[in-house]
Amino acid sequence: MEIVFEDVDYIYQPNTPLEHVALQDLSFTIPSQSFTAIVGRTGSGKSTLLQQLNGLLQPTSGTVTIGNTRLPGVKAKPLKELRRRVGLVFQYPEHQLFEETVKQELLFGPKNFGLDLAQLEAQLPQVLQDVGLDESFLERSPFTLSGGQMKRVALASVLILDSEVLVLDEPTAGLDPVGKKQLLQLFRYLNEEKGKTVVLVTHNMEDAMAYADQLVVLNDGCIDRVTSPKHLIEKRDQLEAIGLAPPESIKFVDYMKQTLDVNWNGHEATVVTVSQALINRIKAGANK
Amino acid sequence: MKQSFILGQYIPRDSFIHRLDPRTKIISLILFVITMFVIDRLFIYSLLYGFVLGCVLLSTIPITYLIKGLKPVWWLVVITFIFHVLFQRDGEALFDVFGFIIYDQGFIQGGEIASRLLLMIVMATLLTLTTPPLAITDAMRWFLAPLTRLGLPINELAIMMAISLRLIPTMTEEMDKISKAQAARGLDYTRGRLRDRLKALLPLLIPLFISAFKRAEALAMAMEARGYQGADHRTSYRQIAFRTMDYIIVCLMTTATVSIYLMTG
Ligand SMILES: Nc1ncnc2c1ncn2[C@@H]1O[C@H](COP(=O)(O)OP(=O)(O)OP(=O)(O)O)[C@@H](O)[C@H]1O
Ligand SMILES: [Mg+2]
Repeated sequence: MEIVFEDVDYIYQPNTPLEHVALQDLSFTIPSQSFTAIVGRTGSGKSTLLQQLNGLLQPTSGTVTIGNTRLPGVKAKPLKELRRRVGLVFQYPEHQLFEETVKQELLFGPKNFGLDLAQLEAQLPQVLQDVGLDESFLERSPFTLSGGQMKRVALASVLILDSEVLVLDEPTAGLDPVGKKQLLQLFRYLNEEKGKTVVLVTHNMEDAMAYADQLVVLNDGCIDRVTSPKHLIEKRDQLEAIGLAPPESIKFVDYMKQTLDVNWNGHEATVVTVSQALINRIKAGANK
Repeated sequence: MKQSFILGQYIPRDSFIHRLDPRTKIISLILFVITMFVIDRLFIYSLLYGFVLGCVLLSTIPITYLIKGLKPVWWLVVITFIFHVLFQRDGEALFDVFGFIIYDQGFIQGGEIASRLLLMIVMATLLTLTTPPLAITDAMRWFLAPLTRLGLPINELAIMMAISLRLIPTMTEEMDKISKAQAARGLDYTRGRLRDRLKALLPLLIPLFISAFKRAEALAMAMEARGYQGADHRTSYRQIAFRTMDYIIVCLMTTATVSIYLMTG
């Protein structure tokens, strides 16, 4: 599903002393079946932006068009339909866990949306496995889980809905490196193999560059730029000014250039591509 | 997003009311409430309304913000008034609505009681809006200090109060986040039968309580980790200080209260 932002402003608590302009004049497009990362420093408005995607917040002015639904001004019923089609996983899982068992927790969304519970119940072990948990968790209480496990359960409780668009607010924050990679691979799989549109918020430029095909850079509630990872690499010197650090792999390339006076014009961004380019060079150099 | 309930919220400004010592504000509030309960003349209520309006204006807090933020209270006030008008059986009968005989005392007493409720809540809200929670704690500790001799744990009480005050806005924010997280999974508690709606409150209340307990636990541990072992013999490094203006206000308020009392005697 394509998502189009047009001149979107969002103001928290308008006309009060606590009024806060969180989003200002946003216009951009998230193409259908793309993997879009939204990056920006703390407080730049990422979570506020995400909540516009399924109508939890609606623009103060401007419009957001998601598929054939246009916000603001949608009635309760199409809004619920929209939420079924756009699954959103929040930053803090403890805000949603409440059932007695993980199994009930996972079936909470499907129950609300009136899906076929009997059929979904059979899929529960698979969904748990996808997020890195095993079947034994089904009967456990969500409140006895560790922070990382809660996060995975919260994620699974949205994955089970099988929505067309998957919106993730820092899904890997606080996970161990292996678990983190596993989840990112899962998102890539859902994007590439299952054709889901994925929108991911992250602080980590490394992940954003490695997994996304489009980057939306937010700065202080405004769009700084919408770009591809490749182009952002070229403009990396501008990143630090808006509170983002270029990935380590890029720092490595820069260091090589400066200290070893290596001539390097590549656009490689991730550890894998940088190493590959390096290997190629060494091989080529040996041949020279 | 709708605006949340604002009692307990603090809005930093640099107004006359903000600058007063918290003790002055609390004493004034108490005197105000006493006045309200001893008087029974309508014209004095107009004075009180004027006084409250003056305080709100001096605080530079927009009136519309107060009106919107106290929405639940308005309902309470209106219902109180209607209740009195319908069920009061004193005074002269005025007219009759669907078998309810309406008496003039119904209007008068309903107006009085609803006014008391309204004015008291507006003033209390104004206190928290213009005073940092820590300053309120310090003031409470100062007022309660004589009771330490009776063995009451004053400092603990003061800290408990400060933490509770601080938690009201935090909990409303939390509630907002929780209801969004559940709405994203299709929860709808605004429609359907009453029973279904009540059942739909559970997914909101359980995470709220759990997070409140966790927050309390984390706070306790963080306090302990930073060397807190009960508040005995602590000296407050924030000094709240009475200034000339505070003496003047307290004297004025006392004089006003006493003279209103004598006048209406
Ligand atoms: N309910 C609210 N009322 C008023 N202001 C708010 C509210 N929620 C968020 N804000 C403000 O809006 C701005 C954007 O917040 P948002 O949560 O979207 O940031 P973020 O980019 O997700 O940050 P983080 O990376 O820390 O999660 C912040 O300055 C925040 O203080
Ligand atoms: Mg956020």
